[in-house]
Amino acid sequence: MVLADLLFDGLIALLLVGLAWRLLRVPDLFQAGLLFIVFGLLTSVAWLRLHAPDVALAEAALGAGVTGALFLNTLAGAGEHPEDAGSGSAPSERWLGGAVAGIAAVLTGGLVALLAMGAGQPGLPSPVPPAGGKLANPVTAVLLDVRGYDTLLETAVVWIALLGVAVLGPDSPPPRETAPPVLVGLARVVVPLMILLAGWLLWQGAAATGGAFQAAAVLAAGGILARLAGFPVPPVDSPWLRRWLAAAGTAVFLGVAVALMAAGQLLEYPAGTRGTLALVIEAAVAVAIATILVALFDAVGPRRREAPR
Amino acid sequence: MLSEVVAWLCLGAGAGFFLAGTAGLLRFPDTLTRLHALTKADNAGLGLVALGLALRSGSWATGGFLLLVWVLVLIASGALSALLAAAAAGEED
Repeated sequence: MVLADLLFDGLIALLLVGLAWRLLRVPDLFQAGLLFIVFGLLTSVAWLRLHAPDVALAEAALGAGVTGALFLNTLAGAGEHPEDAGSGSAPSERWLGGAVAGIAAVLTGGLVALLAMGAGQPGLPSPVPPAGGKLANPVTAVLLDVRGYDTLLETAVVWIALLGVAVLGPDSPPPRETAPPVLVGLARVVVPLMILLAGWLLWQGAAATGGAFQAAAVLAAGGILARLAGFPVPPVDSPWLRRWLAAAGTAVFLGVAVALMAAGQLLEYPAGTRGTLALVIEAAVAVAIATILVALFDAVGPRRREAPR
Repeated sequence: MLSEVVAWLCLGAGAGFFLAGTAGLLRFPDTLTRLHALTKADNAGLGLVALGLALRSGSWATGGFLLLVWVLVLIASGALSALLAAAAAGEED
């Protein structure tokens, strides 16, 4: 059995490297998008083999599903977007290349210096989530308790990405196209189930596999499917609601953290309230990230035919 | 003991469907016939694998989840095959 495991893992590892190579070399961007989805699914299998179902779920839903949809939609919209006025001029490209190389050199140097400085010292202690309470799932406990700072920044980064995209383009919702009846029927059956599944993932994330990011990915996938089928997605369609929801994850996370500073340190929660606070934060983060992902999907895709308002 | 044998037969037959479906995907000449091969693997192959795994798990709850997975894949793969076929037919016109 050990040999079979080894063969299977080796096959996955080889396939991943081969796929990554093809993905970077293939000239057709549509094929590259599809290869990226396959790559994400295989990565998710690799995480499962490493006994990390939480990461596998997030990878399958976010890495393969939503990101794949974002890539393909970007490609669909790319033909219609106006040409960038500054693109193609050689001097600016050379300047950009030099800047990127410079930043890469500084970062590599810094990393080498850090590694050299830390060479003789013991490594970071492995994070041990505080025992007890409702947070029985070690991954959720680490994400919110031990590595709360990282999770907060991740939430903020996704929000800032949407802000960046919103600055670059008009933020009008995409056209309501007439979808094929089969797609409408599929969305009618599957989208409610996806919303239910997202809620379940969020709820059970405290104790078992699941959590805010997985729930957000499933919710966002449901939103994208509804969008493709021509159904309204109320939280994203209203500009006002979309902006508030997109900010809600970071705001609630930070708000709770700052409010509790009186009792201790930033991002440290009193023992009795940890389960409840985790659920509040995770719910806000899940809704915010799902909103942001659907808004990103809208922003990169094909545009409305008539001139933007 | 009997259920174990049936379970492995199901798993083997399911794997056979996937193998045949993959062979069809690689060898058939156009989109529609390839889709035809693929849906067999998705529907019958996954159904047999899910049934085999449900028998092996020996738990109604796990079996129910596997059934749910199969039904959802049936709905999704049926709908997506129809969409892909429509898109392929549209391209040929």
